[in-house]
Amino acid sequence: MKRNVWIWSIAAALVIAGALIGAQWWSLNQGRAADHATPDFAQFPVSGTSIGPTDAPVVVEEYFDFQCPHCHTAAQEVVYPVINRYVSRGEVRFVYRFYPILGPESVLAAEAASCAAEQERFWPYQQVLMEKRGSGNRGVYSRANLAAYADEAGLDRDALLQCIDDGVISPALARDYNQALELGLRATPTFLVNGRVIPNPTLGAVQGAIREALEAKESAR
Amino acid sequence: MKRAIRKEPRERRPLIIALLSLAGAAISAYLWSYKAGVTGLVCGPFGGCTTVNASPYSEVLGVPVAAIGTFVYLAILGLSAAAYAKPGRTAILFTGFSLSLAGALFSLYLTALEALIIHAYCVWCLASWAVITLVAVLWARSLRAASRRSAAGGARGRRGDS
Repeated sequence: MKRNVWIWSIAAALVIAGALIGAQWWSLNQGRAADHATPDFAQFPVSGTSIGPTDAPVVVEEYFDFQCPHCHTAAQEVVYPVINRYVSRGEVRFVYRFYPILGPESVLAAEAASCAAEQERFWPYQQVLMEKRGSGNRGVYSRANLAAYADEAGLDRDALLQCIDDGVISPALARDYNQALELGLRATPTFLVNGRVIPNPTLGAVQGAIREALEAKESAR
Repeated sequence: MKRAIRKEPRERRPLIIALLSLAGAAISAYLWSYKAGVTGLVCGPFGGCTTVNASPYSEVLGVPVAAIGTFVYLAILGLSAAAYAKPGRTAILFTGFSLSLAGALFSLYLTALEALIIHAYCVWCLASWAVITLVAVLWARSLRAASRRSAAGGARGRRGDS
C-alpha cells in the first residue's frame, strides 16, 4: 500500500505537470503556422528596408547579413512572426539594417538589396535572397545570380544591374554599417527593440521585449 | 472490553506548509495583478521580470501562469488546513504531495524556459519555484511519516497489540 501511494502520487503529479506543459505547447503551436507564414508584404506600408507604420510605438531593427545562416533562420522564425503578429496590428515597424561582414558576396547582395530598396522592391527581393540561403561566398549571390533573382522578385533587372555596376555604395548601406560599428555589434543577426540590443536572436526574447515596450508605452499614457 | 483509540499526533508540517502556501499565493497574486495591469512590478537588481511575464510562455491556453499558481497555492493552503485538522489521512497527504510536486515540476520547466529560450530571469518566479519545491518536500515527508505509522500500526495489529 505504501509503495502504491508513492507511485500514484508521482504519476498524478507527472500527469498534471505534463498536461500543463502540453496545453501550453499546443496553444503556442496553434498560432505558430499562421505566425510563420510568409507575410503579404504588399499589404503593409513599406519604405526602403522598413515595413510597418512610421508612427508605430515600437521599432524593431535587425542587423543582418545575407550570407549568415542564422539570419536565414531568423527571417522565418523571428521576422515573419513579428510582421504577422505586430506589424499587422500597427504596433511595430520592422527595419532591416545591412551589416555585410561575411565577405564579398555579402557586400554584393547587400548592394543589390539596397538597389532593390531604391525601386521600393526590397521586401520581395530580400525574401528571394533569404530563401536561397547562400553562405561562404560560393557564388549563390554572384552578380549573375542576383540579376536572376531580380526577375524572380519582379524587379527591373536592367535597372538593378545598372545600380550594382555603378559601384556606389548606397547611403543607407553605409549608414547601417557604420551604426552597427558604433553599437559595437559583432554578430548577425542582432535585434534591437526601440534601440535596445536584445542579447539573443530568438522569437521569445524579441517578443518579450516588444510586449515590454508596448506595456511601457501603454502605462506612460 | 475497551480498546484505546489511537489518535494521530498533530504535526507541525501542515502549519509550515500553510505559511509557505500563503507566501506562494502572495507572490503569484502579485505577478497576476501585474499581468492584469493592476499593479507595477518591482524586480530587483537583475531585471527580467517584465520580459518573462510578457513572454508567450507566461500563459497556458490564455490563462496567466500566475493565476494558475495562485489557485494551486490556495488549494494547497486548504489541504494543509485539512491535514492539520485530520492528521494522517492518506488521501489528503496524497493530494497535497501530488499537487505540489506537479507545481514544482511545472515551475522547473518554466525556469528552464527562462534560461534556454527567454534568456531572462524573474526573481519572483524563482522564489515561487523554491517555495513550491519546499512545499512538495514537506508533503513528501508527511506522507512518508503517515505511511510508516500506518505500517507500524498494521504490524501491531497483526501481533495482537492495541
